[in-house]
Amino acid sequence: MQQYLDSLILRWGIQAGWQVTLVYAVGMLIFASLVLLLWVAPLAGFTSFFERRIAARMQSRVGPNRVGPNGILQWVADGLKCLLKEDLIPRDADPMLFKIAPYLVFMGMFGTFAVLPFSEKLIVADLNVGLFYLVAVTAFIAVGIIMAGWASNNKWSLLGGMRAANQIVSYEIPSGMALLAVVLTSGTMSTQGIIGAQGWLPWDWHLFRTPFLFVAFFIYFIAALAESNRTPFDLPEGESELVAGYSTEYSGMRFALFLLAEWAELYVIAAIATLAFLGGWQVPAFVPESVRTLAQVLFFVGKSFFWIFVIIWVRWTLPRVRVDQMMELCWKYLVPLGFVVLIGTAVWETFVPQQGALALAVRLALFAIAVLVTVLFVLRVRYNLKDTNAQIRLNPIV
Amino acid sequence: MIAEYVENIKRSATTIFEGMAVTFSHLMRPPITTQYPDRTLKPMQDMLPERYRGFLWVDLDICIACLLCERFCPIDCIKIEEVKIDKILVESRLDGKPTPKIKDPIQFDINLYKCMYCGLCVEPCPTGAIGFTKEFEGASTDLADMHLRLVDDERRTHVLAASAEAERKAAAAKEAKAKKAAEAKPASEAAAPAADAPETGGA
Repeated sequence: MQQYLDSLILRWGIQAGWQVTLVYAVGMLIFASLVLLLWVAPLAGFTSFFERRIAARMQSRVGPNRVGPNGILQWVADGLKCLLKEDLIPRDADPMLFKIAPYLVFMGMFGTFAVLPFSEKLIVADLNVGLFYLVAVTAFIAVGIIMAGWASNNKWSLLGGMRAANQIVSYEIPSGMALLAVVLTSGTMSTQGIIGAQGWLPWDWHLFRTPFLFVAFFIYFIAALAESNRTPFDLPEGESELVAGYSTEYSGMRFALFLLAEWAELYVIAAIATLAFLGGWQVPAFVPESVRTLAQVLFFVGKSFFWIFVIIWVRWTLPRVRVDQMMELCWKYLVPLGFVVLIGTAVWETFVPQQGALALAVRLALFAIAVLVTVLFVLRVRYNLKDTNAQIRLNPIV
Repeated sequence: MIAEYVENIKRSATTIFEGMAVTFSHLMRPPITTQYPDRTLKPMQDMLPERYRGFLWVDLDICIACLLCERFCPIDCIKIEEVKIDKILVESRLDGKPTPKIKDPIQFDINLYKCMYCGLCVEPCPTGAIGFTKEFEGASTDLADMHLRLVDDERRTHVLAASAEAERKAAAAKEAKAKKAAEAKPASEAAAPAADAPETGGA
């Protein structure tokens, strides 16, 4: 196989040596990008369908159910529609920046997929600065959003872009600090290394490892919501005040790219939460070798989709916060807590022996608290259903 | 200060917990959407309320052509032309009592594009002949489609024949009466002078 490829490359008039290696590198890059695109685009599409369906059921509606079996192909119809629309550029807009902005946003989202693992072996690049790369490359989204807001030459777009920038820059700090606590614990920034430092049992996850990491998870989750402009922090695109924020003037495929980035960002947040706190692709040891990779992919994507569900669920529960409340939450609550978490983790990892009885007791206690909260939650849900004498319909097909 | 800080965190955690429980309970409830028109559980007409105001309809058999509906209509979308017929008794739909009917419409037009479904024609109707149906799908490309002509040609000829028959009978009866009167007249005339005679004679 490789000899055949070598001969093909040499036939193009490329000299042997480092130039052949370069061709291989470019080829692998293109192949990896294609594979990721084939994963990201349907993923974002399916997430949009998933969100619309859950939103509908939470509001006693039906949701999209016409295109394909039970509406599952709705996202294809939406994408095709956007593809066929005219690509309008406002007269007074800055045409070049206006055109580049969606690509920057898409790039910031798409770049993260390079280090997001699916299983022990399935990963594009296991960078040794993986988590740092994740935080850095998502900053492109902020640039793209400001660019879109500025280039549109529209007051709503500009306000939306400014708010988004403000929000993303502020919330990078707590989210970075929460992830830094994870890095302190696992001793590596590589995404595979962080997952490798955890086990498949819930109390071997970073989430239940120390009380500090338990808090760090919530700090990360809230900050990630704000960074991706999701409700309750959707101030940059608040429909009631800013029309559609930075994407007001966009139409056609450029608009679709913004939406694609937004929905794929959900998966990115969920995947980072999964790999940093929830054990990633760790599967039980008794899973046979032949289906191990499949099981790992299922575990990872399954956990991620649970957190996507939680993000959607939060969206339909909480109202939008005010700008000052958002800033207060970040600077007065999350940042100080982040410092406490960071220092606490450092102290804990230094003084508490990892294999000791205390560490295990703390893990089990934290896991027990989580189970207790879940049980309480189920009881509250049951109370809410009984209180209103509601009919129950668990079948998702309508 | 610190107490307030902790209290704020506690309050947000508990309220979000409660809110999430409420929305999750809603996730498990059945949707209440009616997927009109193609995926309704029952025919649409069965799901509409009892007193739904759809298109107007008239039971011509019990319509006594009193023209009350035409007069009450605020936008004149009802047009009735009637003829006299033999008096018959029809059963009122309101109270089941027999009501005399001496006229029958030969034209009963309702322009449903003008109609505003106010129900003012339904209220005065003495026999309950005019009323609302539960039909409401009237979209059409032709204005004439919504111009109801309730009396069709067959009924019209039938009613006209009945009317002519009634007229003929009435004329015959009148003639007979006149004849009878005429027959009676000479007698009375004959009797009158006789009756008068003593008076005149007396005078």
